[in-house]
Amino acid sequence: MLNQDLRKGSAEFLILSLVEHEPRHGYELGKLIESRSSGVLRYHVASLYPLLYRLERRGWIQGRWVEKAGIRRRRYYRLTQAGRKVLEAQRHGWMEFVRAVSGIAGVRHA
Amino acid sequence: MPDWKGELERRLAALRLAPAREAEVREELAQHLDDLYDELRGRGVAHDVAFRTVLDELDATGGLAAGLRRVETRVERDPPVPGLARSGEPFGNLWRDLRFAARLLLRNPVFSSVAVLTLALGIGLNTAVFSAIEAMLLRPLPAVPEPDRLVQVYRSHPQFEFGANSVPHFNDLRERTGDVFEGATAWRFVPVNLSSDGRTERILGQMVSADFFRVMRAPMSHGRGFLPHEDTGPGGHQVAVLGHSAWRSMFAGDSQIVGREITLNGRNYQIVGVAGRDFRGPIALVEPVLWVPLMQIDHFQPGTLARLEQRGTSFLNVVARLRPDVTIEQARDRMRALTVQLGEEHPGHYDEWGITLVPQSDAGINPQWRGAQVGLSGVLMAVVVMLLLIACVNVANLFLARASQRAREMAVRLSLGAGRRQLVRQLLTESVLFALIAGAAGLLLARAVIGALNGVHLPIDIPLTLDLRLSAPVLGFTLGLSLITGLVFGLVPALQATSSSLVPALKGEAPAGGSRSRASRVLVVAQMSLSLVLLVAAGLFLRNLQTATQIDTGFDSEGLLLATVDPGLQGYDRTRAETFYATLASRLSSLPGVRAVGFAEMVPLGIGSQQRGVEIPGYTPAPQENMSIDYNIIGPGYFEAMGILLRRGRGFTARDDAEAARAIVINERFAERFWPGEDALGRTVRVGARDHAVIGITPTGKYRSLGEPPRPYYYLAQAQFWNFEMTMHLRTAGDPSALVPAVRAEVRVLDPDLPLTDVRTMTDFLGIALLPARLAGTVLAVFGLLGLVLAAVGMYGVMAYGVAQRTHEIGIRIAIGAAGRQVVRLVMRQGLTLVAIGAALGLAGALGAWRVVRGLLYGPSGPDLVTFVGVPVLLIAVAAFAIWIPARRAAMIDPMVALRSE
Repeated sequence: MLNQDLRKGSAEFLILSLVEHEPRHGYELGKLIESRSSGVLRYHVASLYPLLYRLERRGWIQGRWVEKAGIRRRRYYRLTQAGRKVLEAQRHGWMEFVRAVSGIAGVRHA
Repeated sequence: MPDWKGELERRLAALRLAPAREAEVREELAQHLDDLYDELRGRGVAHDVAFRTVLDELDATGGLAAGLRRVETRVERDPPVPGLARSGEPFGNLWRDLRFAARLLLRNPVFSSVAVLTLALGIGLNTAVFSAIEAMLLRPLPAVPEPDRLVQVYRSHPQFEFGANSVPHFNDLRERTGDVFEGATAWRFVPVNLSSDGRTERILGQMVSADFFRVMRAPMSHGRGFLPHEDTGPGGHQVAVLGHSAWRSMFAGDSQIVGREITLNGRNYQIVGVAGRDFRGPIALVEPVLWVPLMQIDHFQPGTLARLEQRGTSFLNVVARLRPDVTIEQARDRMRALTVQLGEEHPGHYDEWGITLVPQSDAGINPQWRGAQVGLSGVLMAVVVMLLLIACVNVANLFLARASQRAREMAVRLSLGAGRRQLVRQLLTESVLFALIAGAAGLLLARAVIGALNGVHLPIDIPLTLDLRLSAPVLGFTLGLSLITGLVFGLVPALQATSSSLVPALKGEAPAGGSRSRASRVLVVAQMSLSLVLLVAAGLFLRNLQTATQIDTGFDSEGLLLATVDPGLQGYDRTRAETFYATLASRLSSLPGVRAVGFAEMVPLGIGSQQRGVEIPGYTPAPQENMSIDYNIIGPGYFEAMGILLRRGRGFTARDDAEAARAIVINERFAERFWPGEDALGRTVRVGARDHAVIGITPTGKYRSLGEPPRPYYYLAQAQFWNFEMTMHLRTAGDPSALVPAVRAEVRVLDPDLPLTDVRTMTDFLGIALLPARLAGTVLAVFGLLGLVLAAVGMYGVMAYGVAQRTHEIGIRIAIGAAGRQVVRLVMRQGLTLVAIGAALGLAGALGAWRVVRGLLYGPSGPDLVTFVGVPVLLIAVAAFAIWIPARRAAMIDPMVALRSE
């Protein structure tokens, strides 16, 4: 398990990345983070949704109820234009950070 | 599945979220918890363990409430459901409603523009018609201070209520009524030949008593009005005041104009002043080019100087200004007393006569025309209101269709605690906003229509300035109309939308056979009946125009050229004028292409008419029987030129001159009235105290208007009843207008300074007689066509919507074996039943409308069958087509798609 601060800082970045190419609903986002990090990262309902709502309030993502025949309606989140800019900036920042840490700590990229 | 709602509610309660927001969060989270629970159970986890694990999700990392508190905003006690009133800020509420409505409007631009354009059409036409009514009936006299204290003064008689005044009568009235009037002034329109810079033009002026500008309180832009002494001494004051428009157009707004000389009827006049902008005198629709003193009457109506002394010769209009402390009733009492007094002083002149006062605002051109003006305005207004109602029905239907799309939104809001009244208010705000935008668009349309109407030149002698404007009253009317429109088309859909039962609406189901389809059925019926009334009205007036053009006028109007000359205005005496007319007649007759030439004082079916009392020896008139009969003064050859074939006897010849035995020609109606069943030829008619022998009888034609009942009429010879101004009637072989240059040349040869006026063909001239019918027919035909298009579109909209609503039901019918044809028949039958009900109601309404307007129509007195049968058939055919399209579409519904649409 990662340390609290690191997790918090990375959470926004992760969610923006996951909705970059297609809209996803909350449960799906939780599952994806958990599976793609092989269980290292996990968000509880109590923190995932406040996070989603905060991103939505900032205008980085937008939630919309989508109905499909035969199943219950779900709220899907997609990346907004503003969100896309933020994501690019964050992605750039993370690359810098990772490069810097690698250089100092001598960690090699896998 | 465990119910997470309760758990979530408990955890969210402390946050005090807005109810709508809380419901949303609850739904989203409950779904997540369901998914998680399902997944755990799917992996074989026992229920209670799975349940605990899921709840832990909510309480991890400080709990859900703590996490949300930083993100979500709290609200005060009352949640901001749109439309819910909060005490203390009514405008904040309205503002919120408006913003919400504006968002909806922008969200669906196609819907919005169709609705707005339909309404704009209705509102725009209403505005244009109202602006005409405002200009003609409601607008106070322009540039006249306190116009409501002006009254028009008429002499009344049992046979006519609004008669003219004579000069001595006017003088007595003015001198003796200082206790009720600040002043009284007399006026009369006169045609004038105005020459300046070597060019002679015939213009319309007004002869007025000298205190005219004082009584009217006319503003002057240059110089002065007339002075009191210019009311005395006939012929001694060659002064004129120019109208403001004429000053600008004919004299280029010359600021040195005062003191300049102009030539009026061949005499020099000095301009002493220019009236203020917009001042038109007592008739708002006509702006005189200039005013001259009444004392100059002999220059403008030659040979009438004696009228200044004749108490029995009435030709003046009189307008008076009430003193500030006097009511019109008090003034009327004073007039009664004055009549008695004058009757004692001038025996014989005031028997049966009275004085009638009419407030200026009610008088118009003449109060006797007011009824017809108001009637026509009423018909026109009713028609455009009808058009607007049809537009409203169309838009109401659009809103109704949209309301069903928004049924779930409404149900959610109702279930979240919004009151029905608040939702209705929100929906009405939306429709009123629509209507206001449509009103603004309608103003643009109205501006275009008004511009076009102001540019229309009516084929009449009088230079009418219609001057339609989007004035303050008109704008107020449009605003009020838009608001009412918004309420009219918005209320029913709003009530419908908010009355739906919650459960099916929340589930997204259309209420089966519910009130909403009842509302749209009512709309079909309304649509049909309104359109029918409108189209029948249009049909009636179109048929009326057709009838009017086919009425037998009693003369042959084809190939007839008219032109007027007045040698009297150029100072000819009678002998010189007689020679002039004789020479002119013979010169014109020898022109190639001219078959006959005749002169007459009046052209029938024009604006004016003249009557003169007759006595028939041996005939005792009944008490109050009107012995004043329409007549004309004509020269030799008139009947030949007009194509009137005499029934008996002969017309006038050159031998019927001043020395010959007095002769008269009468029409058949005249003969029937006074000598029923007997031969009228050779009988005696006394006119102007002299006996005239009947020498000829003409068929009865039309004289004042096309719609008139047969009217007695007689002709006198010009040589025996001298008249200077005559209109020549030229019967030509080919196109009469081709002869105009030749006729002008002939007149110029005789007198280069004599203007030839009112040159036109008889066909053009008859445009005047046909004008009311043509105006009504054209305007109503345009409105009728618009109504038909709106009705067809609306009918299609309502039916298409009805079919769409029933897709599911029709799908089932097809699935269980109904053939396409049967479905078409079913839909058509239901639609046409409504159309038939609407048609029946519409016919009843149309009959009522016909009763109201029948007085304005020519021709037979029964309802016109062609209209009353043709219009419903046409409309039902259009409606059937509008229903058939969606019906056919219904028959092609794929049952699987229809059933899945649930």
